[in-house]
Amino acid sequence: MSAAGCSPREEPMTRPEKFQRRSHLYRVCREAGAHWRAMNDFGVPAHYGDVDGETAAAAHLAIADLTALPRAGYKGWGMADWIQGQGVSLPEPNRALRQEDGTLACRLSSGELLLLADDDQASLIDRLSETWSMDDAVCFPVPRADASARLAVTGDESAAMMAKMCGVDLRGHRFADHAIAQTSVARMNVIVLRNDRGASPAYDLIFDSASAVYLWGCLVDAMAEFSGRIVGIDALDALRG
Amino acid sequence: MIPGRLPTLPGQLIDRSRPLSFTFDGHRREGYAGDTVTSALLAAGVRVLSRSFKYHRPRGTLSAAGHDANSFVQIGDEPNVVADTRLVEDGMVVEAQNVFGSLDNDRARLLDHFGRFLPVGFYYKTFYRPKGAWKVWEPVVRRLAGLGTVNPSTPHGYYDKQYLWADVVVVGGGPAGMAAALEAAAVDRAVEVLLVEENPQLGGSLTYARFDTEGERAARERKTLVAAVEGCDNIRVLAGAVANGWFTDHFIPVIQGNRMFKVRAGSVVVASGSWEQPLVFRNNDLPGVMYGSAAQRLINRYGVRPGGRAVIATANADGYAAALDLIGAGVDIAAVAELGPNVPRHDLAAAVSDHGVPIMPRSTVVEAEPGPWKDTIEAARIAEITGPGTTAARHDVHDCDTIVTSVGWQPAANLVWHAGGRTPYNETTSMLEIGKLPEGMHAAGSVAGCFRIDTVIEEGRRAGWLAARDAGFNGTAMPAVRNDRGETGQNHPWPMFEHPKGRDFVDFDEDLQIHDLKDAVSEGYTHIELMKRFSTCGMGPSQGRHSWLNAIRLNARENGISVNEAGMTTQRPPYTAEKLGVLAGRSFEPERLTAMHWRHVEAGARMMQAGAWYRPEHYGGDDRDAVIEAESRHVREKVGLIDVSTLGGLEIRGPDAADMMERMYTWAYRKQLVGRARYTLMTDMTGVITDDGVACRLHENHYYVTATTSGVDGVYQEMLFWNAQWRLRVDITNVTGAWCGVNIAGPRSRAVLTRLTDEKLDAESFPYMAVRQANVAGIPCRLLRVGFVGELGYELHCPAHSGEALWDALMEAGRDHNIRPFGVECQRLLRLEKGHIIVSQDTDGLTNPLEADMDWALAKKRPFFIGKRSIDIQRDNVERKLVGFEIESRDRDGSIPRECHLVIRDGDITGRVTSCSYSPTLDKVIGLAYVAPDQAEPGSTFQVRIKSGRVDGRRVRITPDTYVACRVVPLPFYDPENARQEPGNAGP
Amino acid sequence: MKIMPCPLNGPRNISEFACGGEVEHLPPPDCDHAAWIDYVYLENNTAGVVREWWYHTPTAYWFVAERDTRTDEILRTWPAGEFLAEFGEGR
Repeated sequence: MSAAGCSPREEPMTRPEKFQRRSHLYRVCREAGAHWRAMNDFGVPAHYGDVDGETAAAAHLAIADLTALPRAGYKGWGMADWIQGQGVSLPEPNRALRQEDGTLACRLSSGELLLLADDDQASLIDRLSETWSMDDAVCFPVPRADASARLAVTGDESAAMMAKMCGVDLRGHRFADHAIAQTSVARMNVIVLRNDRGASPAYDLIFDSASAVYLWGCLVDAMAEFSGRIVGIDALDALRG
Repeated sequence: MIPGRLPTLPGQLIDRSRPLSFTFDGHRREGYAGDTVTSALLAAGVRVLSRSFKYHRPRGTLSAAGHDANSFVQIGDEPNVVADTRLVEDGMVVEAQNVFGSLDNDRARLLDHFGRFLPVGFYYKTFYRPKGAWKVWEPVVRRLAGLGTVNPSTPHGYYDKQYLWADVVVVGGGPAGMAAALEAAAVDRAVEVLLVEENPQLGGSLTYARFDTEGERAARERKTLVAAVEGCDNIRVLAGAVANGWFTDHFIPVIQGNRMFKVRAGSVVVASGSWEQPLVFRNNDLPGVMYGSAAQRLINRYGVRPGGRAVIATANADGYAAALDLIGAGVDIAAVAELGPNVPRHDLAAAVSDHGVPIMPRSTVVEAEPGPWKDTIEAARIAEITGPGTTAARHDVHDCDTIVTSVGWQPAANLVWHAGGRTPYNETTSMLEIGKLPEGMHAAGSVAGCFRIDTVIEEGRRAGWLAARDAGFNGTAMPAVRNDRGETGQNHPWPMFEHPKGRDFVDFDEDLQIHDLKDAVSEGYTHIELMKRFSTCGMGPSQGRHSWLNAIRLNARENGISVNEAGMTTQRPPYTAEKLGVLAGRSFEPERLTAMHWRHVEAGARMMQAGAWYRPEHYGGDDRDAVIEAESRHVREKVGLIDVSTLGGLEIRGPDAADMMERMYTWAYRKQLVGRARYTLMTDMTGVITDDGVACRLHENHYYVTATTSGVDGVYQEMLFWNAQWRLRVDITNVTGAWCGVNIAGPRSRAVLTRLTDEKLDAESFPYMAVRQANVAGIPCRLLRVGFVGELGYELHCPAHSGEALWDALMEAGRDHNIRPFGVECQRLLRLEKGHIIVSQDTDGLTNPLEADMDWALAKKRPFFIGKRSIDIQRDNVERKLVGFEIESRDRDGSIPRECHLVIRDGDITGRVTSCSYSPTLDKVIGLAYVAPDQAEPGSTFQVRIKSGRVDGRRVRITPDTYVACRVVPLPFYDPENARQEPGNAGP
Repeated sequence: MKIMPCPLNGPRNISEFACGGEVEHLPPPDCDHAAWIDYVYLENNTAGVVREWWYHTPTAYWFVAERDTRTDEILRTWPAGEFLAEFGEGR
């Protein structure tokens, strides 16, 4: 039954079901006409057939599924010591700091760190995973790759749209790039990270993966009045330049 | 002369180049863009807008601003629309409400003649005897005393909510509000100012009121202020929007159309103006009796002449300003009754006098004489005032079709009241005046008792500056207030003239006359709160806007106390009626789907909600019982697969992990071997069971613990709570969403799983209650050999994003073994056969482990776990026991006890059934129930009273006295030796 | 809606929080039944300044707030660790 519904737009070699790991949103993106690319053992929606249009949309208002991008978490009383010992520069709680390899280190509390990669070159995430060991551990991996989905909300209207579902003031002049709000979005616990793509304001939402279909639906509904669009990861890469 | 349309005047809000047509009560009417329904109807000569709530008297506009229910109409499916403020649209279908027949010929108007049989409180008195009478009367009363009609099949509208942030919120876009916004914005360009205006346009009183004899000042000020506001980058204007309440920390819902803005402000300026108050005299509700401000609104906003010939009754300068506007609109003024002792000396009165209008001091209108159809005015009777509420017997009769009154104002201070501010009554000015304001709130304009335009603007500027300061901004000096407030005396102290024949209305919404309120007090409802509820004064749609000031004056006089001693009732949000759609808005109901969700749907599962999760109840088929039975046979005889991803999962890691486990859970975990699983039972401080699950020890310092679907968030919160205090070297992480789970169970489960993993699965390598970490179909899994359903089985937990791939691999590998998925209902049946409890189904908010017969899961030697002390205290006083029972009857239709059916002995309740089902495996009805301890021995019997049964899928009532005999049996019902865990060794 | 100043996340709508009740210390293990029952079942219900546990749900973060129950004013907040360092462990 999994082979059914393979639309002509899909390239058979990159069907999302070909991969062992699948975003909870892959059916939704397939319905929207996604073209897929392999990444991190996932099929990721690269674009929906109109990269230029999607890039323009992403500068105005768009959402994208970034669940396939690598991420990891570490938490525990000794997190700061251990992680700094691994050469990671730590920001203050509720701030993110870009590391040398491009990974974003998001400090969620004094004892918790979330690591996000904006592409599949996740050398820091891989290195930490190889180094960490249960013996004598003072902090512990949080299975963020599977516990969480990651969406991007990009464009000039993104703060206005987010105000329809989130009680924290995310407008540009009140919520700086790389600021973090761990708050309620559409009555769900969500980590909101301001993570601009080039000159375009953008927010990454990291939240319970089982609720991805729900929150995606809320976003699609909320962005309709702004003519927001669903875009692929290529459009975001184009904005980043 | 009937009302009609005036020539174009500057400042009018209508666009005569855009004519519109609509219907009112079936008649086609014309209007212009910018007209309200009321103004368009008055321009067309239609004065009767509605019939009153109780007596079905004809009503027209009183305030032209919606401060009363007189202008309530039905527009399409939308009931109770305020015609005074709703703009006309082309093709709009407007209908009168609360009418039997037509508005002009309402058959129920005869009720007006029976008014003396409808005294205050008549609902309470008349329809409640004999017992049961209300049931008969209610539909009649409801039909007569009605508002609009709700159409339940109206299509759903799209409503939305949105947060909004501002440093300073200014409520009210009149002169005070605009001045406040401008000053606040000028303090610093960074100040974000939000200006909320109820009307579609800014201006407030400047759109209709007159402040000078020439009548030019208002338009000039408006032009200047509006241009300044519109040119200011840091003021955002929300027009046509209502600030509908004040909540803690300046949280203000602002409703604009179908959207509610949830505004968070740093500080608030209330510049919400005031409501004009009625003069109370006989027939003061006839269409054509209106406030001075109403006449001015009609003339200056909409170019509508309110009538042909008017009598004016006034106690302040506003009445003379209205007179000048009326004269300018071509209305004859028959006379001005001045309620004060002298003709005032101000320019406005002099200008009116110059027009040859007679001004009669110390006089009032005491009665409006109706026309033959009782819906027009023929004349006004004017009499000399002899004391508070009393007049001379001699009446002067003045022919007129319109009576305009201007006797005082009440502050629209709702947001101040919501915020806990008070408005004591000033006996000198006869006004409610704002007292001490809550922190971060300022008031300006007429709501603050200021009516002189220069001072209003100055005080507005100062309020704006103060609000900016409260929001944390400095940058300019505080603006001065140079002008004074001018003469006091906006309000007449007693604008009520009771008539022996009544019909002198204090509350138009509720048809309450002076004697109704006096009667309420004399019947003993003396306190203001009691008088309000008994009389319903102020409880109608306008919530006392036009009635409350006079009502408290009456209450004070009848009780012989001061108005402040009478006090005010509490005002709460909302300020105006808000639609349920706005409150419901775009509602957020989070839903969680497991990674295999769509595989269940594709396999025909009937999905059910379990908290936010969706779970397969059973797969396919219309005959629910038959499907569940088939699924259960399949697990017992072959192999089945169930999605258990919704199970909670917690990682307990660190050197103190075992200590944490032993504090939180009732059993012992320190000596648990790595690679083994152990049952977990959690109690709260009172010893009540709160959750259960399985703890897997994956490392000396690492437990992976499952929790119930609905309980995991609470368990996680509780563990963090305690460790915030204990500070153990342990980390607790909720990994529920990170892991998917499937349980593959049945005699052939091992054979299926062997195809997908290199891990040794034989009894010796991987015994019952062992845990392994291994790849299954190339996916890294945690394998738990547990037996919730009582068969050889494995729970496979894998990373969530690989869940669908794992499901597919298992279904594929099991194809030769005829694997089939089973649902939650089947699992419930299988575990019941095995005697496993489900926390919160077989336990309740008071169940301790002793009652649930789980003494075996309590650590005896340990001094502490959460709940231990409380359990120990209760050990000698167990009042009920959870037991397994069976009934002999094979009748599956009528006599199966259901959950919560009571165990009865000698007429007393001794317990209840918690689970009960027909077991196809055992071919009998089995269940769990609480019974008295002396009923708990295996072999003893008890009686369950059953209340209803199921016949051919239909629920039927069974007489309440049907009892079913149940026999206590040892648990588990099925496979007590656990032989099914190694089906090779012992056959079923 | 009320604002709670969270020591970790700053000012937030109160709807993001759950109250965990007044800060109380577990009675000593050798306390009598009455003391235990008082601890388990009886709330102080103080009219005045109380110290309460509060939980920020999105971050699963427990902290202590000092609040005047008569005015509902929040006077001060502490991270749990700082509070316990100042006022003693709650074991």
